[in-house]
Parts: sequence; structure tokens; C-alpha cells
Amino acid sequence: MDNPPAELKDPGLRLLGRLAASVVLWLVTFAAANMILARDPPSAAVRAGAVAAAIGGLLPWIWMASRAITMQDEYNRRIHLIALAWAFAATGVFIIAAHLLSRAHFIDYLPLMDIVLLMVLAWWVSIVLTSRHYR
Amino acid sequence: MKNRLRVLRAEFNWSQAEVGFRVGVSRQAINAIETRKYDPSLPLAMKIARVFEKRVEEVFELEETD
Repeated sequence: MDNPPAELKDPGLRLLGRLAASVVLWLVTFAAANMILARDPPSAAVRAGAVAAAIGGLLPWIWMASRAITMQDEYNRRIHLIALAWAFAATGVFIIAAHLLSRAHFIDYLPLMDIVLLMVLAWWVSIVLTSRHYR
Repeated sequence: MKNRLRVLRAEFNWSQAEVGFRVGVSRQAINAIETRKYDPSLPLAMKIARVFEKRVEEVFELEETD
């Protein structure tokens, strides 16, 4: 058989760089929006602009993360699909449990950003565990 | 689904990474197929068969439980 064609080089490094850049962009816009909103500006336009900037800064990350998953082979896409399903379920269970525990006066109501952090953590753990299971 | 991937690789003296390279998937994907943890799609199964110059049914075989 012939040698493998040279054009089948891994294109992942460039994508990884863009993914990292999109994370930095989001962190910068999120931090800037928080700084602006912490001063409680009287102008509704300024507050709305800060919110829009932080949300807008998140969109490139969502796009790049989606690209990073969809450009992988079918086996790795399947791992991501299963991991996302587990992370979704775990986050749902956590939110319901936290809501009920709060209603039962065992804990204070959780800030939404804590739930986002937990969601990201659950996603990462699910990817690691699913990868190990299928290895 | 049973497969003869490991035997065919040995005949061609190819690594998992090399097979993956030739059919456009990762080494991990070939390993998961070989160890029967993952059943490939029909297009991927056909690509794998093609690089070994075999028909799909010469590489993959359905089991009663499939």
C-alpha cells in the first residue's frame, strides 16, 4: 500500500489556539461587564451595554467549542454526546436538589453563576469518565 | 459486532494510528473498534475494509446479540 497522504495532518492545534483565544475574550468581556455593573451606573444603556458585551463575548467560545466537537471523528463525537448527556443530567439533578434543599431551609438559594461553574465541572468530569470508559 | 481488524493490521504491519490516519479517524477510534467498545458507522466500516482491500463482511461480522 502507498504511504498515507501528507494532507491528512492534524488541524487541531490551530483550533485549540482559537478556542483559547475565545476563552480569553469571554473572560475579558465578563470581567469588564462585572466591573461596570459593580459601580451600578445610573444609565440603563450603559448597564444594557455591559450585559450585551459579556453575552456577545461568550458567543465566540460557544461557536469554537461547537466546532471543536463537530470536526472530530465519529467516535470522539459520540464520546462528547454521551458526556454532554451525563453533564446535562447531573446539572439537572443538582439544580433540583439545591432548589428543594433551599425550600427545606437547609441551604441558602444558590447564585446562578455557581450553577454555571458546576455545569462546566460536570461537563469536564463527564468527558474524562466517558473517555476512560470507551478507551 | 466482531471484526478482524487486529489480524488485518498484523498482516499489513500497520499500527492503529496508521489505520486511523488512512481512514481519517483517531487512533483511539481504531482501538475502540478493535476492542469492540464501539461499532463504526457504515461509511467508516467501508473505508476500513477498503484500505485492507477487503469487502465489509470480510472485516466485520454481525453477532446474534447485535
